Amino acid sequence: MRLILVFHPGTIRPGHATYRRSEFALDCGVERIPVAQTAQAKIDRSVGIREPTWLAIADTLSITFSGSDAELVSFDAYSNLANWVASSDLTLPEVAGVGTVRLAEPPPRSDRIDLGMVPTFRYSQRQQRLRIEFGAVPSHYYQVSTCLIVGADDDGLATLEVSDLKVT
Amino acid sequence: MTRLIWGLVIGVLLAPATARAQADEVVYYHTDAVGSVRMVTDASGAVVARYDYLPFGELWPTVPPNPDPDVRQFAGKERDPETGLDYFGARYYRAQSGLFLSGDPGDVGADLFDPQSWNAYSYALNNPLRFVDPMGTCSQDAKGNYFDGDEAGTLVAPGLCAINKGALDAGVTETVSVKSKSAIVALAEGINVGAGPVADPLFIVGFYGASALGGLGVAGATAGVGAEAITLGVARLAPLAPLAGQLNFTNTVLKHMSNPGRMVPIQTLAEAIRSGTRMPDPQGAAGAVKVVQQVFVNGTPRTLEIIYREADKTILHFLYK
Repeated sequence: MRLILVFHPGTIRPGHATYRRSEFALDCGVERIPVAQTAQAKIDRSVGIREPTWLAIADTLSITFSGSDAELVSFDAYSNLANWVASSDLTLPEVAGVGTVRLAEPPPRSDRIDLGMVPTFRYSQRQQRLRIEFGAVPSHYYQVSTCLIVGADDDGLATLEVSDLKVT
Repeated sequence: MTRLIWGLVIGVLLAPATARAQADEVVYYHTDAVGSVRMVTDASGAVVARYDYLPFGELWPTVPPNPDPDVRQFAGKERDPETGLDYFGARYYRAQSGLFLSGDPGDVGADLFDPQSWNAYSYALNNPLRFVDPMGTCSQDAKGNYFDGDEAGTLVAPGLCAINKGALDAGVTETVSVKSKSAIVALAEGINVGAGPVADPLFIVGFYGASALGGLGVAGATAGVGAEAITLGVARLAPLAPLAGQLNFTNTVLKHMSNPGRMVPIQTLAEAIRSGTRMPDPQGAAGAVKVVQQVFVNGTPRTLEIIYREADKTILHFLYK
């Protein structure tokens, strides 16, 4: 199953990307821009209603889409760096735009999307870059944070390009 | 002041050997087959109160026959005069609807092959003339025997309600696959020897095992047992509470556990670790295994995956999809 995304232009936002060897834990997040809360949002929050969240799952990797616009906000994975494909040079792709990436059609009846595949992790220690491949060749790239570029083709998500990955 | 004196055998009012002391007066309860107080007599044997009930415990007629009704009524349980609710220990019961006000504690006690047990709020397998639920956690007959819910009413395990939590506390049980109900009976009888007192009804585990998420027993579909065992169910009396209390988590897992959209109850994780299908960790973490278990989340079947390190009982990763 492919993850169909739509791009919305915006500003580049801060992000973080870390990998903890002791836990095999990759964590990458995008800082969300605080928006003026509507009255409904305030009421929802006061009674404990959370904003909707969807998880796209590929093996042990989970991509989180959050909010009414189902915006990509983070991803994490349980993955052994020793199993990543070592690469001496991961070219930084040319981005077509800066902004947010959203789910085109968030599933109405489930908060889980199983991609049914195992992604490939390609890592350049020298460049501190990580490319997670979902079995397709991207035709365009969108930068969603200072350290995350999303690659997609016409059918959906193709790669996640992580830069400035801090390995501890 | 009213002082109530009554005998307690797993929550059942004993009659007629129980008495109520009120000032200088001693009165006696007389109960029926399900423990409901039907008559109260004084020391001379004179009837001071009578009670009749509809099958699920509603007083009939609905107006109490005496202005000062006794506290203990249906199934020998205390009836709150203000709310009309019966206190069963683990939860409250409403006779007018024939349902408990809260679900089976821990969502346990469901039997995959007994549809009457699927409703976590129902009382005594919806058969209140035959069964009682002395603690609000398990249906049994007046002798403490547990029966399955089919029409034949086959005896599954004698005295099960009294022993299951005690067996857990005693830690004498393991995951056991059985291929006949007689084997279950033998298992239960064997456990009975080491049974201890019931301590915490929240951790009582249903005889067939159950999903803490869905309330429907899934242990019968546990991988790693034969097809026949799957058909007949797998008896599980594993001590889940101790394992749940010993589990450790990595910082990342703790972070996910604090996320309502991702967390899985610790009891469910412990259940899966004990009974799920195990395989080597694909990521190759030393001493870790991948555990896969089918669970129900809000009634929807899901696949729960856990990466678990046995040596220090640490969960390295989990998710359900």
